[in-house]
Amino acid sequence: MSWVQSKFTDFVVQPSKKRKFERSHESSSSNDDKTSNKPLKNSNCAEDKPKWRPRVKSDLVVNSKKVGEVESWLVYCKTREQPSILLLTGNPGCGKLTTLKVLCSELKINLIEWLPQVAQRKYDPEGGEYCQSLSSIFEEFIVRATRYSNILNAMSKRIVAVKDIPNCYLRDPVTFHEFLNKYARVHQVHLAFILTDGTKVRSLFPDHVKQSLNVHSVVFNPITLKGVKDTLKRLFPNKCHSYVDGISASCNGDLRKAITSFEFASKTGKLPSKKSKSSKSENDDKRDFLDIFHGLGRILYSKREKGKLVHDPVAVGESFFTSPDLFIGMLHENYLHTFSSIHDVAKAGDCLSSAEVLLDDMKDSSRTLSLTIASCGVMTNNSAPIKKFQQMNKPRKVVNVVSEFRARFSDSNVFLDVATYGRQIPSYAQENNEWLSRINELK
Amino acid sequence: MSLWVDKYRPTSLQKLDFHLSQAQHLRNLVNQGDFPHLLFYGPSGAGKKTRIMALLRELYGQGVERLRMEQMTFTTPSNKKVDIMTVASNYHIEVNPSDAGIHDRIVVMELIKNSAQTHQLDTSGQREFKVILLTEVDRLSKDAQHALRRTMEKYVATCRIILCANSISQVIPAIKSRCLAIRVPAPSHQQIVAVLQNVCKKEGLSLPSELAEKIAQKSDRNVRRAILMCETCKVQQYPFTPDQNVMEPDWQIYLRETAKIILSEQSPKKLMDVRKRLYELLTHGIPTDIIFKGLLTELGKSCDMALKTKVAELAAKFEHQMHNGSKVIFHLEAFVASFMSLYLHYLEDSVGSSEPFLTLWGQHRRAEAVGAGASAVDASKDTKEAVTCRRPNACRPPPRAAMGKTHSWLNHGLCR
Repeated sequence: MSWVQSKFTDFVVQPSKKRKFERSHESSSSNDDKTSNKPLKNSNCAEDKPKWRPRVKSDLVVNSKKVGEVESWLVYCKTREQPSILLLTGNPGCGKLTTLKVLCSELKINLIEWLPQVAQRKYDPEGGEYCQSLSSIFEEFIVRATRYSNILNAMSKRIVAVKDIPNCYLRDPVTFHEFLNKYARVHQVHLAFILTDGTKVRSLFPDHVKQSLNVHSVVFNPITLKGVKDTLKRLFPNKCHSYVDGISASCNGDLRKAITSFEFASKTGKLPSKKSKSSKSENDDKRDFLDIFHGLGRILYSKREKGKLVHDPVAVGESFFTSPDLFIGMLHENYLHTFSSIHDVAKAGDCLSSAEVLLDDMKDSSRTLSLTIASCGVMTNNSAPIKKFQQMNKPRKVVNVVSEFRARFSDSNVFLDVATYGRQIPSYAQENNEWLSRINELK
Repeated sequence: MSLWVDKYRPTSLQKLDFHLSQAQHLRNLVNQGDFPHLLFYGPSGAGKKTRIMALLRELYGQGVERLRMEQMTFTTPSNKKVDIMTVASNYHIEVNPSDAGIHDRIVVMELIKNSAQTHQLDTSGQREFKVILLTEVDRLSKDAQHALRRTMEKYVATCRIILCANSISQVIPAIKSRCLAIRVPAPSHQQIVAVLQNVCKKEGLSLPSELAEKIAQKSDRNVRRAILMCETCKVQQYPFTPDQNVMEPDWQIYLRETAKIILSEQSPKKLMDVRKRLYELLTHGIPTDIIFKGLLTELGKSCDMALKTKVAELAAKFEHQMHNGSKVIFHLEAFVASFMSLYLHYLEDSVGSSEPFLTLWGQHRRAEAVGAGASAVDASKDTKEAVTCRRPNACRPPPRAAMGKTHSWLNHGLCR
């Protein structure tokens, strides 16, 4: 009877599965007592830093206002029956889940966390083996986690935290909204969603959903430089502190990364004492986190020291490898403001034109080449950049207003002639007023 | 009421107004029985479409004139629906696949498959093949052209393909070699005048020959535009007067103003203004080849011969890049920037010489510069085509003797 699965033992962490549940004040089952006895801790989750995880509210380096907002929501959940959703957003490593965990343990709220998993094979006595879809696993989990209380701590409040929303919902946000409408309107259901990507947030939680489902959203800011530094110093009181500055500067408010890289550096015995080394590695790290405006700024307002460029244009270009279209588009839209000489513009424009041609080729090598040509072309050809603040514009999308009417004619030259002169001929203009009137004069 | 252009379009090969020997060739082609795939090409307004329709009528008789418009829907592999307007009779179907944008490949393949898989209903009394007419083949993506090549051979038993393009430099050689290419050159000014007189006679109007000549000059040797201009003139003022104003297309005026801005000041700030105007043109659906040609013609008027060759070279280079890339504004703007830089150098070089010298240049340059500059784009891209295309220009009188030997040599080299 191996295919019969107990509905109670499913909360067990099985090594083959990636699915894990943390329950703060219970030991989930008999055959897994080693891992789940300790509160707020995972046995094999590499990203967690149990040693350094803050236990009390005062240990949190997150802005106290934000902590207060989350706390008030938790208190609201504890006291009321109404369904409610909390939406935590912010950069990775700024302590969203940690804050939730710490506050839950303080308020004695049971936090159940959804962890990502692969669709697994199940055995069905009738149809043989089949794959359960991720969305159905997720739905099942939510139903069980919210509706059925555990016998061991039946009285305590429950909150379900979802950090990795299954991919099928990201692809099709409408199904996610249907899911929320179905499950999140029930009493006593309190869900907390944790998201990092801003565009995902907008597609998954548009305004009408937020209003109709009573969504509280809290936006976490990256941890401040001082916060990162203080934490590192507090956690590693006996380590070399000369390295702290470099790491905290390069982590961009990602505390998790800071701790990991600090630990890695100390474990491998690379904790350097020399200043020069640390400043170099700082630069290396920083390259990965260059955001688009930062990168554009470096290229457009090319900084020079003693005739040499401060930033390497190739490196700046390469850091936008994932979105070369956007980067080159932005560069093209904004480069004119910073040029003072038309001769320089001509050279830079030539480079941008070549870069755009290469961009059309989908090969990785040509995309890199294209980025390099564009960034080098604009940066090195700008001999005297105008250093004045200019608002950066998005690349303009050319919307051809007439393309829908063009299909009436066999080719675009015919259309152009008829549209130009047809307007002047009253009898024709009257008959075709519906489309002729929509073509404006050139301004 | 339909426009004169449609009303007086010759419907059969016998009724054509010009290129009569070519019409005879086409008639022979139909009578001979073995009908190949055809590729019509030539400048816009030369009568390609008129000839194709007349040819179809010769092939199938009156039936091809009963046209119906249909919307066809194709599904791309990524499940996107692409709608295309088609014009069809029982014997042929006409499509402009470039409407489908990047999905043109699927349109070309599916369309040919659909219509080629069914045979003609009654093969006894008529041809055993149908005709698929594809317009604007030069705007097809390379992908679609390669797909076309294969399907062309596969369904040769049941269908013939007639392609229509402005320039064959954008058509891949594999397609060119599978078709009988038929060039339809632009009519000469005299021919346009004759057509205009003909149309006016049928309308019962009297057209002064001076005005007809003026319209022909302004029409850019485009019959369609000439007839439209003539009809507009009639609306504006009738009876005609010889010195009547002939309306130019608004985009042509707009391009001229743009060129003026470029010539007035060469700075990144002015380039910004030019960029705005270029965007304006693009959103109004002005084809990029017209923008390039128009700018080059206007800019060429203020350049001396040495500079003009350089500018034409630049235009050729950036137009070529534009065809390889996807965002046209990059290349248009790069061309304008390069021109500004070049022109500024030119001005700075001639600053030593006196001011009257410059104005003198401007005056006589205007007289002869127009054709040479524009044709240079074609010339560097596809020499053969440009050579035949510009033949009537070759009889233009050589420029002022003062321009020197090199100058006239260059001008002839480009035009002949």
